[in-house]
Amino acid sequence: MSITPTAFPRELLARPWSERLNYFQTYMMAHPKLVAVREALQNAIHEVPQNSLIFVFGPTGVGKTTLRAKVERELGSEMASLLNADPTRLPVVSVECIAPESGSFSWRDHFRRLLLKMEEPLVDYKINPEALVRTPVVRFMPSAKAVGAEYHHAVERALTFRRPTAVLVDEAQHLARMGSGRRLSDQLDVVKSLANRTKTVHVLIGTYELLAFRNLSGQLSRRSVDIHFRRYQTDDPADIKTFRTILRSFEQQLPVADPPDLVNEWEYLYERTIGCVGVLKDWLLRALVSASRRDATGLTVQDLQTHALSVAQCDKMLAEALAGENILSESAEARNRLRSRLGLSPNGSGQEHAAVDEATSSDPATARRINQPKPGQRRPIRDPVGIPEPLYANPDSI
Amino acid sequence: MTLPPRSRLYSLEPIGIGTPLCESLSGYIARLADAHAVSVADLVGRELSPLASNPLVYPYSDEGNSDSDGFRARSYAINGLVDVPRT
Repeated sequence: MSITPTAFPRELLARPWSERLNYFQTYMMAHPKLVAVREALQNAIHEVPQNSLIFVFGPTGVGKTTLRAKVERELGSEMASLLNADPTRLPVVSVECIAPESGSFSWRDHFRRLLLKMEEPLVDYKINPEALVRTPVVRFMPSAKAVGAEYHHAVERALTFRRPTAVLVDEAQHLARMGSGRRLSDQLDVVKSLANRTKTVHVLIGTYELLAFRNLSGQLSRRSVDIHFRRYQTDDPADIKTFRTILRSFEQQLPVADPPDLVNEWEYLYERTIGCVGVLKDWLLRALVSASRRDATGLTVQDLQTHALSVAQCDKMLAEALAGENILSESAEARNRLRSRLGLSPNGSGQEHAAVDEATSSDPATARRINQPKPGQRRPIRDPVGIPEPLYANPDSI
Repeated sequence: MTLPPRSRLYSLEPIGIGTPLCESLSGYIARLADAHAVSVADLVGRELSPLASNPLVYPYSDEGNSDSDGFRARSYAINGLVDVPRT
């Protein structure tokens, strides 16, 4: 944990409110869960094979967009020397999936947004060289074409030549919004083949709705990595302690002369944020804006109460978070099911061998009684007959 | 950190550079257009020509007759082997 409780610069109090609000808005707190997830994500980006998908799940308002911004910056500075040497190269491409107004996700718009993000020239004149008749994307009727084959091809080209370390897709749960007749796995196949053909890691960041995409097929499971961005939870005393430290840090960052005692109110603040730091910051910002309109010297608990999320809102958020956490926790039961389907003994643990040895040696009498057959009883195995099979090690036999 | 200025077009390596069999400018432009998934006419007419002080190929003025007079009539002059005929 590296929270240094440094307060905001005091001279900010003399500055206009717009500047003070901006200070708080751009303030990014390196709280432990964010730091841990950022490290995990960066390691994953560097370690996984280049055609992999990385999923980052987290409840709404936990700080996923902050994570994306941070990773974007980190990858950029990591690659500074490479970027100077090669002016074609991009460190990272980071886009947000837009919720489709028509009800189903538009790949065409998504690819277009990717191209614009890469500052690709002539976006409206892309052609698909594999098409028999070459018609530019926009010429006579810009909105007439529904398919985005030209854009798809152009995105593939752009990623191949620009060679970004990763493509970060925020709000990726919107990919799951589809019209009828498509399946979830079709949607994900588009991303997968893009990752595969361009040899670029794709990071899909989203709420727990994105969980629908997880493990749709065995091939995908093998090629994907899951990262869980948790909220601070009350079951863990360490989490509560950290949450209080976060509140203390926010107290020091609120650019008002008379900050409220947030730590004292921690239960109320936890209740209305369900332990999500992003929600907390938005809330404080809303209260701060209203304080600025009154030109108040301080922020009171009353201010916080008027701007808190309603109980029903928190309840909905919590329900979604709990459902997601439940799916993501690896239960012992699921593991046993896997083991029994593999034909292993179901109650195995990591130290299975040691445990079994101990069990047999601790009570030798019982063990012998189980292992020893009655006199004259046949062992229930087949005896080898015929000529022994050659081993597979011999390469000449292929 | 801010990103240093990026190249607007991809920096392809010319085929056979440093040898007598180096590819021609028109060949390079054709490959560049393919890499960007645009037609050669669009690349030259909309992206390259506007940068020249005295453009050989004029940028398109209107969409309707874009190909009638702009690129194709003059494109053979790109390799610099003949003069551009003045009409």
